[in-house]
Amino acid sequence: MRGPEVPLRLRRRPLVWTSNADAVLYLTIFGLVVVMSIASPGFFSLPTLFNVVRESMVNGVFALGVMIVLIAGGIDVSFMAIGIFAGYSAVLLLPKGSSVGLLLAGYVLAVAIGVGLGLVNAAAVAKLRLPTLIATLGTQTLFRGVLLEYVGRKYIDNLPPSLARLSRANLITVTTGSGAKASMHVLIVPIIAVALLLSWFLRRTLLGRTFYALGGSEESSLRMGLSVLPAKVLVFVIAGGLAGFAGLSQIVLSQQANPFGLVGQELDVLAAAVLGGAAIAGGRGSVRGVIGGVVLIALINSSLVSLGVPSSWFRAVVGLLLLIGVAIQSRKQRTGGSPILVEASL
Amino acid sequence: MSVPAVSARALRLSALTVGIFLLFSFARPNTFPTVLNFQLMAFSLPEAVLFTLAITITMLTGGIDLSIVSVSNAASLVAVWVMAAMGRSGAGIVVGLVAGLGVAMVCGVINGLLVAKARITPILATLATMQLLNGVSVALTNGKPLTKLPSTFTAFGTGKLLGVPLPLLLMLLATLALGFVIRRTRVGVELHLLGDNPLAARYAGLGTTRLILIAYTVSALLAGIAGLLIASRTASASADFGKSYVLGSIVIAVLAGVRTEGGRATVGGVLLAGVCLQGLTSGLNSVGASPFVYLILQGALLLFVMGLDNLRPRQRRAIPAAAPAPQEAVEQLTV
Repeated sequence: MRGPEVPLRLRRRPLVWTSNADAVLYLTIFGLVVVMSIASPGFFSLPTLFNVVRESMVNGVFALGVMIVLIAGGIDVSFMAIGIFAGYSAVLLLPKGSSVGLLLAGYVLAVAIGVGLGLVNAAAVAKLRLPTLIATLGTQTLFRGVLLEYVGRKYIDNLPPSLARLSRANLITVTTGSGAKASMHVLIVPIIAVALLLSWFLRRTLLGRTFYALGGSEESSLRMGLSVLPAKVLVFVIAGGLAGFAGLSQIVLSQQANPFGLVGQELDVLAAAVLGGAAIAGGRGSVRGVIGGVVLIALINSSLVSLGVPSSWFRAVVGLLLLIGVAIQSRKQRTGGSPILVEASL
Repeated sequence: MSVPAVSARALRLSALTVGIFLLFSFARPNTFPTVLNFQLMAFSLPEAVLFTLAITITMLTGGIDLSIVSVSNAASLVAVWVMAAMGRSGAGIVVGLVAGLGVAMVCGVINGLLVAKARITPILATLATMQLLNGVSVALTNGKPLTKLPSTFTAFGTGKLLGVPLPLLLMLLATLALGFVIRRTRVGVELHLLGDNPLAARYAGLGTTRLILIAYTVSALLAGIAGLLIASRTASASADFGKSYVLGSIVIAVLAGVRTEGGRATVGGVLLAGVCLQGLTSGLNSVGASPFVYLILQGALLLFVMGLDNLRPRQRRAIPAAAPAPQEAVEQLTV
C-alpha cells in the first residue's frame, strides 16, 4: 500500500489541525489566555497562573495514571478510590514529627499502598481475565468499602506535623496590589519531575513502547513476542503508585484528610485525559497532551470565575468541550494512520 | 459463549440470591422476612432495575450509556417544571410526563447520532453528554431541587395495588416489554447480531445506524421513566440525584450476565441480579452492618461472579484462532 522504502519521517503529514491534537490543545489554551486577558483586565497575572497550577496538580497526577491504563488499551475507574485509600492510610500510619524524613516516609508509604492496590487491579485483570472496566469497577467499590469499614471514616483536619509543614510550603509568594497573597506550592516540583520521568519512560524505553503496542493491539503484541503479562501488571502498578502519590498530595493541599473524598470524581479526570488526546481505544496518549487537558479544564474554570459566570455552569462547559474534543479525536482516528507510528515519529 | 455457560451463570446467580435471602431470614427472622421489609425492597428495586435495563440495551450493541442518570434527572426536571407551569392540573401532569419522556428521547437520539454518525466511542460520547446534560441541569436549577409536585403525580410513586407497590408493576411491565423486544422481534435479533459481530452485521446489510439509534433512544426512554418514578416517589426533582446508579447499574448488568462486549443480554438476569443486590442491601441493613460492608461485598461479588468463568477451566489460553475483529479494523476494512 505504502510506497517502497519511503522513510517514515518523509511521509507527508496531514494538516496540523487534524494530525496533532496536542498542538490544537495548546493553541486553544494560548487562545483562551489571550482572549481572557483582553476580556478581563485582571486575568493575566501571577495569581491566576498560580491558581490554575494549583487546581491542575492533583488531577494532573491522577490523569497521568489513567493515561497509562488508557494507552495500554484499558480503562480505570478505581484510581480515586486508590488515591484516597493510600493517602488516608498514610496519614493514619505516619508518626508525629515534622522532619523531612518522615514526610518522605509518608509519601513512600502512600505510593507503596497505591502500588499494592494496583497489584489487586492487575490480578483482577490478568488472573481473572476481566475487562478492565469491570475489574476496576469492582475494585473501586472494594477499596472504598475496606477503607471506610476497616481503616477509618473520620475527617482528619490536623495532619501529622510533617505533612502540615508541607501544606504551608510555598515556592514563591507574591502580594497583589489589593493586598491578597498568591503562592506557588512547592509540590509542583516533584509533580513536574514525575511527569518528565513518565514521559521519558513512555517514549524512550522498551517497556514504555510495549504499553503503546499493547493498546494498539494485544493480539499483535502477543504474536510479536512482547511480554504482555508483565507489561499489564506494570501498567496497573504504575497507575496505582501515581494514584497513591496524587491522593496524599490532595490531602496535603486541602490540609485535611477526608475518607469520603475524591471518589465520584473519576469521570472528571477521565474527561481531562481524553481531552488531552489519550484514546479510549488504546495505543494513544502523551504526557504533554494529558497535562494540557488538565490545565485547559482548570483554565476554563478560572476564566469563568473571572468572567463572573456562576460556578454552576462549569460542568456544562467542560461537558461541551469534552464533546468537541472526542468528536475531533474520532475524526482523527478515521483519517489518521497508525497510532503507534504517529507517536513514534514525534 | 455456548448456551450451557449462560444457564450455569443463571443457576449460580439464582443460588446466590436464594442463599442471601435464606441467610438473612435465619439471621433476622423477625425483621427480614416480613411483608413490610419486602414492600420496602419492592419500592427501591424498580429504579435500579429500570436504570440497568436502560444500560443493558446499549450493552447489547457493544456500547454503553453512561448518561442514563443525567437523562433521568433532566426528564424529571422538565416534567416537574411543566407540571408546575400548568398549575398542577390533571392535563398538566399528562403534558409534563410527555414532555419529560420527550426530552429523554431527544437526548437518546443525540447519543445515538454521536455513536452511529459521528462514530464516537460510546463510552466517550455518553460520558460527554452525561457531563453536558448534568451541567446544564445544574446551571438552570442552580443545583436546587424542584419540589412543588401535584399530589396525583406523587401518589403513584408511593401507591399500591392489592398490596403490590405500583412502581414494582411499572418495572415488571418495562422488563417484559424490553424482554419481548430483544427476544422476539426482528429488531432484537438484529441488535444481538450487531453486538456479537459488527462487521458481519454490516455485511449482512443491517442498518446499523438505525439499530444504534433505536438502542440509545430506548435506553434514554427507560432512564426517563426511572427519573419520573424517582420524582414521583420522592416528590422532588433534582439535577444531582442518584449519581451512584451509573456504576451501580453496570454492576447489576454484569452480575446478570450481560456481556460488556455486546451480543448477550437477559432481562430475566437483570431482574434476578437486581433482587439479589437488593436482598443483600436490605439484609445487611437488618443485621445492622454498615453500608460500607455492602460496598465490599458488592465489589467482591462482581469480581468473583465474573472471574469464576475464567478461573474454572485452567487450560493455558492459546492464542485464539478467531480473535474478534477490533472496531478499528472493521472501520478500515469497510471505508
